[in-house]
Order: sequence, then structure tokens, then C-alpha cells
Amino acid sequence: MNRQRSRPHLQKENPVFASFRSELLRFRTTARTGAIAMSTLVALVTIFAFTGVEPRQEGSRPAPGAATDASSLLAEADGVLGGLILASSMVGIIALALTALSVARDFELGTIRVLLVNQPNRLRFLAGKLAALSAVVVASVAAAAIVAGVLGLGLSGSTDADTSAWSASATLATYANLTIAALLWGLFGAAIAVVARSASTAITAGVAYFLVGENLLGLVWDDAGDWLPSGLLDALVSGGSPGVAYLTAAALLLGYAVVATATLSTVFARRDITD
Amino acid sequence: MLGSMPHASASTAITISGLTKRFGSLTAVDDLTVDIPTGGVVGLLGPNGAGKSTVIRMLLGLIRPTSGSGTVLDHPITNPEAFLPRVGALIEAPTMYPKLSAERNLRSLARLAGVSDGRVAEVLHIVGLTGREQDPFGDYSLGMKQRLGIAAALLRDPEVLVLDEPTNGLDPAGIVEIRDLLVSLGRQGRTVVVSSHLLAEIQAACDRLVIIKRGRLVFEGPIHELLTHTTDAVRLAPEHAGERDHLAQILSEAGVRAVPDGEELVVDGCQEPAALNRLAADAGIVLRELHREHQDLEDVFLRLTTTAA
Repeated sequence: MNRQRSRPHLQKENPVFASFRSELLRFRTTARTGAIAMSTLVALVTIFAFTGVEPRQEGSRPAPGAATDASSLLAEADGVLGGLILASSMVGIIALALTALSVARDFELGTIRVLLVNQPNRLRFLAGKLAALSAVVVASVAAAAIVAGVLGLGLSGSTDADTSAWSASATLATYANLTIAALLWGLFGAAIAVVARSASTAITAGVAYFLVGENLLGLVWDDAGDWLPSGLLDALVSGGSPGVAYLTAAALLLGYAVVATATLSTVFARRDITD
Repeated sequence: MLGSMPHASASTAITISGLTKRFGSLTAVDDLTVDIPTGGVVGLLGPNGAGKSTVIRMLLGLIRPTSGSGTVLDHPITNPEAFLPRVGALIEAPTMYPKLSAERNLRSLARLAGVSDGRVAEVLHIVGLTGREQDPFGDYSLGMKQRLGIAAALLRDPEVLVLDEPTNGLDPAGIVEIRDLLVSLGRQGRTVVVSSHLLAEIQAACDRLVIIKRGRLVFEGPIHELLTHTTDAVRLAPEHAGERDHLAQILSEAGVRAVPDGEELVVDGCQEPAALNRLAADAGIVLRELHREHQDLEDVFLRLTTTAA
């Protein structure tokens, strides 16, 4: 029999936590990129939203266009995050791109071989990696929310935005929904990346489906937005939509998340590593 | 520092039995059966596409065999969690994150493997990268990347080390350094499996060889056995060049296959050169040259991998 010998440098640590800590060490740049991309986008949208507000006169009809939509949005209880809400789909796409890039890059660089030799339990490795990516997405959304909030508060005083309905509890609830939505975008990105094993293919496929594909489906299927992921994510962020209630959207998205997680785990655990 | 290992026992570190891997219609590894004893350096040789990397990946749990079985440190290769904590590996080219420093790349792997951060400095010292550890991996030369890949393989102070082309890209001094490292690891009782296309390096570093071709085993055993058994080519030259074909005819009638090479003849698989001399003398042909040809590993490798089934 082969005898095992003592290894003083080995540490007893939960493998998922070890994978999480290992990935975090590598994701600093990814986190910085995500936070900067989301914050910049949200800052621009917030500034446009607030500066586009026109004073509403008694009895007048709202002017058409984005500025009008922004006016109504800013007057809501969570209006301080108006810029983030308006940009939520693009924030989601950034989350999708970040996770797809991080997951697919391991296959493209070949680092997946080294990683899985050091943590052969693929599901534990994957759990730690997804946890680390989730932390990156949460931190990036938090940074974007802070930017949206600070700019919203700053600009509200110097514009004609109606802030009388603003409330902290509604803002926190919307922030939580935005974060959950971004995490789901990220999960979908990771699932596509594990199947595609190519960052460019995964990001292109994700963006094409969520931004173009679902809209095209909407042309032939009126209720597409009430059943498909992108439309449901919008409904989740908005606290529900005319076609789908908040809880229904949340339940359907949970179903999509389960399918994405099952696909991701099965493919990752079973596929040969030939990269 | 690397810890010392128990003295090599007669046990087997790696067993492979009827291992087969097919990718669609391509059979990359075909019914391979090999036993690798504990301790020492084993060379895994084969031409490009022979299936070396596929074998290595199956041993490391990265690829599932189509059929057959194997064990590493007494655990089935289908359960890599059981043995990989005692195994280090460098698979094909060393791959790490190009923008991260060497030290951070290793620390990330150390965390994943459950190894303390202190071990990172030790392995960097072993492979001679101390002082360059803060450079981004992407700025490293191929030789430095190779060293870092070996450092990563040593993180867990492994009992079995699997290295795919470890000297690729190293300068001559680096090759000698890594060869000495491999030899010293083998002498400590570790099992080092090393694939390389540098046959002279394999010959200098390895105790045993496994040669595969098209996924099939061609040779397995101690390197001296291979060289002893195959140093049997005999070169003979008649005094007059015009007698070459006549001599070949005489040898052929005696059941000896002689291949012309210039003015000379080469006989493979000859155990008794004196018998050839006797045949030539009986036919009245005087030989001006008759000698055994020394074959190094490269000659043997080329012969085995270009003629064996």
C-alpha cells in the first residue's frame, strides 16, 4: 500500500470556501471593471434622467418621450434610484458579460485544467466560483446604486423632479430586486459560458437572445414579456408589470434559475476537459 | 523545502488496465495496460498524437475513460478526489492568469488546494523564481512559465508528480536544473511521470519508460532493458563494394535480412555477428568492417514508433 505522510502546509478548510477565497483573489480586476462599468452607465443615465425633467403644469398632459418616462419614474417612492432602474437591463447585460467572461476564460486560457487538478470536486469548485462571481456582481450593483443615489439626491434639489413620494423602505426593496435581477443575469451568463466555453460566443449569444431575441419573439407572441426571462427580470425590478404580478415573476424566474443551475452543473461536472 | 519520502517500496503508484478513450470515431488511447511502480522517474514517450496527454488527463480525472480502469495511489481514477490531494501535475503548456503576478497566481492555487500561503515562497525558491514572483505571468518567458507550472505542481508536496513536457522552452542550464530536480524527487521516493520529446533528457533522467504509439503500448520497462535489447544492429561492409549485393543474397539465403546502406549492409536483430562473418568467409567474401551499432534512445524510439504496430 502507498503510505500517506503528514503535510504540515495543508490546511483544513471547507472546499467551497477555499474555492471562493481562491477565486476572489483573482477577481479584483473583474470587480473593479464591473463596478466602474455599471457606475458609469448609471451615472450617465441618472444625469440624463434628472436634467431631462420638465416642470409639469396643472392640467397639462405629460410630454411624450424618455424625459416624461423619467419624470414619472423619479416621482415614484424609489425614484432616487431612477437612473439605476432605467439602466437595469444594461446593468444586467454587464453582469452577464462579467460572469460569462470569467467562466469562459478558464476554458480559453486552459487554466481550468490546473484549477480542477487542485480541486477535483467540480461541483464544489463551481459553487465557490459562482459565490465569488456573485460577490463581484453584488459589489458592482452596490457601487452603481450608491452612484445613482448620490447623484439622484444631488440633482433632485436643482431640478424640477417631484421627490415628495421618495421613501427609504421602497428604495431598499427596489435595490434588493435590482441586485437579485443582476445575480440572475449573471447566472444565465455563467450557464451560457459553460456550454459555449468561449467568452465571445457566450456574450454574443446572451446579448443576442436577451436584447434582440426576446423582442423578436414579442412580435409574434404578445405575452412573451410575461413568460420569458428578460421580460420577467424587468417585471421583478419594477415590482411587477401590467401583465405579470411581482410574485409570479419571481416564481417563474426561480424556475429559470433552477434550469440554468441544473444545466450549468451537469455540463460542468460531466464534460471532459479537453481544452 | 521538499520533505523526504518513505523509501520506495515494491508497490505500484499507478496502474492502468485496458484503458481506452474514444472521441467519436477517433481512438486516442487503445486498450492500454501499464503498471508504474512507486518511486523513481518514468518517461512517457510517444510521437505527436500518440495519446500521451489523453492518458495523463485520464489519470488526473479530467477525461473519463470510454472503457478500462486504472488506479493512482490505490484509488480508482474515476474518484480523483481520493488521490489528487497527493498528486501534482503540469498538463501541457503552463497556463495561468496573464495579468496576475506569479505569486498571486500561486497563492490562488494554494488557497484552492488548501495549502498555506507560506508554501508558495518555498516552491518559488525550489524552481528558482525567487525575486521574479511579482512579475505578471504574461511577462514571463516560456522557460519561466514552465518553472512556475512546476512550482504549482509542487505546491502540495506530492507523492506522485505528472509533468507534461516540463523542460519545454528552458535554456540548457534550465533543462539540467529541472532534470536534476526530477531525479532528486524520484530518489526521495516520489513517483515522477514525465512526458517529453527531448529524448536525451528522458534518457538522462528516467529509470523506466512507457512508449506508446497511436494509443497502444509499444514498450514498458526499465530504460536499460530497452537499450540492451535493442543494441543489436550489425553493420558489415565487404572489402570490394561490388560484392555488397552478392553478400546480401548469401545472407538472405541463410535467413538473415540485410538492408543496404551505401556500400554497407545493416542487419537488425542479430545476436551473433560472428555467424555473419562465417557466412561471408564461406562465400569467399572478405569483410573490411563488421561491428555492432550503438543505438541511443532516439534511434530506438524512432524505430519503435515508426515500425511497431
